[in-house]
Amino acid sequence: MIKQAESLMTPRPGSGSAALRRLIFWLDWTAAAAFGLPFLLYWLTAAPTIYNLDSAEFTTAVASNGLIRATGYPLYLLLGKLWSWLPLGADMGYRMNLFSAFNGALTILLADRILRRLDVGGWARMGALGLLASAPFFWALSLIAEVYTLHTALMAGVILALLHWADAPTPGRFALPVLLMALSLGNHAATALLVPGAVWFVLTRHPRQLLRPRVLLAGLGAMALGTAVFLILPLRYAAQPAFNYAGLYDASGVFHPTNLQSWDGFWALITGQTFAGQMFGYHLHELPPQLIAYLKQLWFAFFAIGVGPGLLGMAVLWRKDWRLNGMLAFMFLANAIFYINYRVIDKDTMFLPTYLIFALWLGVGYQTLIRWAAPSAKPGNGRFRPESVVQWAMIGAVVLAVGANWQRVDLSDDWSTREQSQAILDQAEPNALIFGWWDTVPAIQYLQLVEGQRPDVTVINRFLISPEDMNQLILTAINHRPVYINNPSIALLRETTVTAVGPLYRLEPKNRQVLTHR
Amino acid sequence: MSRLKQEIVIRIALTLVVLLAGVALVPFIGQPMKAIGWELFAGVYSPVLDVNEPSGAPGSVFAFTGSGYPANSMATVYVNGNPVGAVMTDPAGAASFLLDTFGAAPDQYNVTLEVDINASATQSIELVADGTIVTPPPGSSGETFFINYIVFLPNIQKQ
Repeated sequence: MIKQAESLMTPRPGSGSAALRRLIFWLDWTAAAAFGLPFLLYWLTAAPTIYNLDSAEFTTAVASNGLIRATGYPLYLLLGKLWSWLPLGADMGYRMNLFSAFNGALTILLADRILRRLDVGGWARMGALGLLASAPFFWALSLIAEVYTLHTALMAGVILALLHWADAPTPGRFALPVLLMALSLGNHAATALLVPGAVWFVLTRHPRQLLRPRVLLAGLGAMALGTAVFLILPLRYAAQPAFNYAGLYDASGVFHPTNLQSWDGFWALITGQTFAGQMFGYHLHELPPQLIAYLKQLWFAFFAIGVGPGLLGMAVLWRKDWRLNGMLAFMFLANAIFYINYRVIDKDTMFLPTYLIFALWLGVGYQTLIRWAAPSAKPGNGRFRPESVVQWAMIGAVVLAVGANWQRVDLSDDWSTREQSQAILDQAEPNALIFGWWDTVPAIQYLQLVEGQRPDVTVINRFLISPEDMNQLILTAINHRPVYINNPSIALLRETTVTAVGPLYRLEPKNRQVLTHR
Repeated sequence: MSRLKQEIVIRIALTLVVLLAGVALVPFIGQPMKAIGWELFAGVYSPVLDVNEPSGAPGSVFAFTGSGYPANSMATVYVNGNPVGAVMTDPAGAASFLLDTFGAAPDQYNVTLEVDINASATQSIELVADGTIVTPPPGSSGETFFINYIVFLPNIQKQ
């Protein structure tokens, strides 16, 4: 962010104010804006406390040194822990939400650096990256504790590092993108979807480099160093954390953690085998609606106006640098195809890598339009400059997008997760046993493990117990402790008396004799 | 028009075509999406069973709609814990059916639609003797199930 920083380090004659003026002069204002403006936007709209679903799980795991479900997310656990020590407020949930805001803004800054290398001017960069920063899902995921903006920041870092290597290939420069990619695997397994594009770029740009032993050695060393972050998982397992989403409860309510010090347990967790059934989970005839839904999402993301220039930029970049564009296209397609075929409810949140690539194309497209709009003969002083219309249209689109999307994403007054969890704990009787899913359980565990509330209550995520074991555990437990569940099944309805208590249902034995014999 | 102005007009027109290409798709895109919050993705954890009316006279036909279920799955319909039929959920995890209360006594009935133990929702209806007959809203679809097991005998007439 500081141009020629070394010049500032050289002692020069003059007062302190002169040094400040020099600092202001040398400060790279466009880079400062590329980070500062989106961060300001995200800071103003970030969720003020613990948020729900995965966000609560990530926050609780970071705060309590716990373990997350597959794929383990060790880099997030590590960086999140470091971030959580920053004095950014008393509420741990809020601090972790700001971590995503920082990563979202960092993504924009790194994308700005990539576009500079592609000779994209300030107006086009601001227009393209402004739309990326204010794209509904990119914005929304910069406001809550999540892994996605860290993923896009690392992805932008990988692309930037590869461009840096391509300028002057050395073993050290080769090691950097490999290191970033290995680290990124520790944040999100979808980093694997970037590998075909990166391999394409390396093989088409400097193929002989890979034959040099020093380059290979540097790459292997970087990979070993980056993947070392996964060692956090067996280390945390050894500490037997209170918050552990890698394992299963049995019918007697005993938790059996997956042994992360065995290769089988470790591999099953980091490869996400529990979600294998959702991958490529659609039949062929179900795919067209999924594809259309994604294209609509992309259209909304770039506020309609970015669609044409983005496609133009892709075409222009093919002609300008087919090797680079091949990498971007591989990364875009690998992510789009994988997630379009991924049968999960929240997959709309997972397309951010494709947004990043499209924003780079959009920057190139905008720059092309600015050049295109400029007449070959310059008009005289004070005359109308058509390219300025394009420039202001780009900035206007960003302003409109921010205005239009603000209401959709703003979480600055969203206390719903904390209120819901607090209400459940307040209503739960002493020594209660509570069953629920991600929309209820991790946030309650946050209140227990991070804020020390109601340690007498046992909370079990239904994801961590088989349906049969859960029923057996409930029908045993209701005879001697209060049991609550988010949604009782017919088997429970038949054998228990169900009373609604807040968002949960209280289960009580209907016929103790029958239940005792189950 | 001078040559410079002509060039400017052409360049602006071409630029606008590219800039507004996406805007031209507005009629095919539809309304902006809902607010992005955790509630948008939490439906999968709590399927919902809705009914068109909470109560009616015996003989009413209630229209039930389930949502938030696993897609393309067989869902069983229970009345007071007894299975009365089954429906398939669609690719969006929704299913509809009608419940005919012909011959049922006035009482409260718990209707459950369940795919499995983790995807179950219950809705109550009440039959009141002096209530009004409820009929399904126009356009309601789905198989009809009965609270009471009914056998329709063929109507045979002697010539």
